[in-house]
Amino acid sequence: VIYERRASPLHAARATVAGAWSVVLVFATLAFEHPLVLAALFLAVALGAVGAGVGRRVARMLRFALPFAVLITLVNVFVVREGLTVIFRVGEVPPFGQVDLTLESLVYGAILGVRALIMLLAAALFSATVNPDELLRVFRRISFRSALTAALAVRLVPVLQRDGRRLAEARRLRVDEPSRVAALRAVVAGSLDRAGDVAATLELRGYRTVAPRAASGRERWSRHDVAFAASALAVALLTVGAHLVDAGVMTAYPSLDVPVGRGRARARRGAGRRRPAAVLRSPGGRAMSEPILAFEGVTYTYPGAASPALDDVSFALPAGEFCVVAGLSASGKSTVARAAAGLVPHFHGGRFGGRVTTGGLDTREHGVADLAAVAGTLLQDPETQVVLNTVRAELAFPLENRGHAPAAVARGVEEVALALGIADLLDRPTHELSGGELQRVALGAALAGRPRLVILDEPTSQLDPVAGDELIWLLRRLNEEWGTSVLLVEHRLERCLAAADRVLAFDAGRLACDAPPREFLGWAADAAPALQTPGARLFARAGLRPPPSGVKDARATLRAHGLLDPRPAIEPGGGLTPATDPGKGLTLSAPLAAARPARRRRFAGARGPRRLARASGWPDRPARRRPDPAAGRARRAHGPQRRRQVDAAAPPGRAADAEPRLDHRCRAGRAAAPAPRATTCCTRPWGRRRPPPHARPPASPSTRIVTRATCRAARSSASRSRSSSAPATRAPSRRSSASTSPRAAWTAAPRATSPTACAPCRRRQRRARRHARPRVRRRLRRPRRPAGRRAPDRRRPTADVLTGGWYFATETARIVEGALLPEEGAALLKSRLTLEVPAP
Amino acid sequence: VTWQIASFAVLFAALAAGFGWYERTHPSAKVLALVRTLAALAAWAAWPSRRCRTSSRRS
Repeated sequence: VIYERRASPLHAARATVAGAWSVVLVFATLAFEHPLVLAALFLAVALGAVGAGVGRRVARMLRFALPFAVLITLVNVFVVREGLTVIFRVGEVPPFGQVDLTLESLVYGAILGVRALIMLLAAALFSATVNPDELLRVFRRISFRSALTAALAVRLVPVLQRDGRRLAEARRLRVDEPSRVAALRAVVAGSLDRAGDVAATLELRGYRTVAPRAASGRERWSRHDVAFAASALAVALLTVGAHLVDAGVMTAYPSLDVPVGRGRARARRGAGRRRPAAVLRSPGGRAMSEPILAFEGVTYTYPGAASPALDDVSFALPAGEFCVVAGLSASGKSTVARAAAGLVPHFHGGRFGGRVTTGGLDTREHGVADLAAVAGTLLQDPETQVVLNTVRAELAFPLENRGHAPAAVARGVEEVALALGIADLLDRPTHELSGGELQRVALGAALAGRPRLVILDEPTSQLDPVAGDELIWLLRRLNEEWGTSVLLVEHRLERCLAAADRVLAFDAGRLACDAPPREFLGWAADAAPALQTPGARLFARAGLRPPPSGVKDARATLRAHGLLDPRPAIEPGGGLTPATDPGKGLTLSAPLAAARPARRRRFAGARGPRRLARASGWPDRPARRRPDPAAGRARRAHGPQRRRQVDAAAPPGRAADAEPRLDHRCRAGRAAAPAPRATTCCTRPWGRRRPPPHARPPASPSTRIVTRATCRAARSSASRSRSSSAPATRAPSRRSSASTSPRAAWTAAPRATSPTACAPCRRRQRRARRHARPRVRRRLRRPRRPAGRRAPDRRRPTADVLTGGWYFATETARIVEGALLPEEGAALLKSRLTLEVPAP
Repeated sequence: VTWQIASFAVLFAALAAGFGWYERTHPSAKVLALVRTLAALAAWAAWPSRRCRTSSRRS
């Protein structure tokens, strides 16, 4: 049972009061044995749960608690040999002697079981209604590290549950289905692997800099606080009073006489609490000309690596500059970001030479937490960078670590939430957020201290196109309006070059190019074609110069060349004529209008019987019967939160290629809702019992690698892949960058062999409980939702989606409407060059 | 002293010793993350229902 904020008095009460109310019920259960008192306590827990709107969730605990209570009852009967009323005589059992089962021991066992049951239900009520972050923040004043560890662990439990589900799905999609032990081992290994990233995040958030300062002001008690505190106090007083006068005592065994001493627990206050002596203040008032980041002959080798990741790198980043770091995989981009943040060498170890100065602080002399005060860092995996349970606690964490006063923390949290557009997420649990929301929250935590430098390592790797663009332009706004320097490591250069002032290109650990975006593109055309943006490639193929740094730049250049009219008047046959695609209402150029039907014919010709239809539809997460208000608003705005990749259809022969794209587009089309998992279908050829390999890896990069055998397969496949030669020497793991890990996972998932047909959820049906199978079949046959709820471009061919829409259009399509690839755009531009365009 | 009280005393003594050591030794971020992971794994392993759910209760 996990905490979710709901509109109830118990949720509205402060965490300490709500927690005390549940704890008092537990202690009262421990203190009383009388069945009537226990029944009253059970009623109190049940009413509390129903009143808080978590009745069903607490009742779910009964499934575990009832067998546990029965077990206690039975154990007590067999273990305790007190009582006078023998109901069964077992006989002589060496070495216990004569064993008799008595009615008294059965009754007392039942009382023990009921007490255990009430305590478990009260614990479930506690965890469902008490905000763990708020409660542990109070305890952090007493025992900082233990409370922080508990808060971190609470955050990890739902993540582990999700990983377990995803790995179970991934396991079923493998040809040689690994055992459950392998999946379990993968969960454990993944979480331990993730611990390293979490530790890095903790240091980046200022852990160990300053212990949280005691609150200077007291918050006023609300009426809910007063009511529940009075209730808890009354129950506690009644419990103590009844205990003093021996009321509510039930004597199960006639001859039982239990001397109970009253101990006095002493709270250990302040044990081991240490506060760092000084608060690190960011050095302010520096001249803008002073570099905010400087690398001087930096050479760095990771522990155990043969070759250096950075080789004699020198550059200086002036304050207020927006700098993009580019390069192929394993070229040292991420190492530059980690060296700037101080993670290299403090966190990773290895051999470090040269000097890095961040915000005037030498990274050799200052730790990561010190550097975090001047440089906010955002790494590529949002899952490991959000370490607490609610968004508000997450944003407050770095400020509290730096010793800000509570009022300043509250103000900083509100400000950064409003600035990033996540104010509506503040009270949401972090395990419910989608990847894009998590990334924005992590960025908010990095920006909460208003650092002078923001370091980002592929922050858009798990975002949909629009969310990625929004993030880039948010950074640009910070850069322009607040003078925040930005060091952005990114391999999707078409997203960020237009916003950048400067590009650093790395090759095999060396700085290969340091130039403004246009000059960089000119360099890339000759020296590193793989780093060219689609727009630059389009221009190069069309023979146009200079290469554009963005869509606006490219369109301006095309207009200057007369190749892009706002609404080209094109006459048919020799001349050019306006051609409008009735499906989209977009005006297309004539050559593309001529080409488009051919593409559609090709699709239509291959259509035939669908081999992949209704690719999903399985509910892998139970419904929340009572959604909280925030989830309800999101659901009304964006539809149900699950299973929106349903109804992807693909013709024979194109299933493996077309389906994941459609799936991805459909999923990202609802960006505001949590991304559904994409691994709920299995394929198999007709007539074969064993399903063939499926072409789709699981949705989350963190759960793609199931077994070591999969790792080996990924490595061998990656070594054969032309674009994965560099990382082929490494085992794919979470340490792989965002660009190498998915590729390795793709190669690890064997492609479907021909001819493959799709039997949606057949294996799920087979695995389903027998009584559930008819429901499953009915569910799969049922239309999922009205047509009006579908994304508008869900059933269109992929090319149409990528060329026609605002949302998913590629950079080439944005420059030259309708063209998908740079080659198509170049051909189109060349054809326009040869056509005679009439003067307007 | 019964064996129940003795076992609880041993348990609480071990917990108190661990707590004291943990608070006094200033664990690094790596140790903290490791302890967090182990604690969460223990909680996850002890959690009652981790099976794939197969019922279709939602429309």
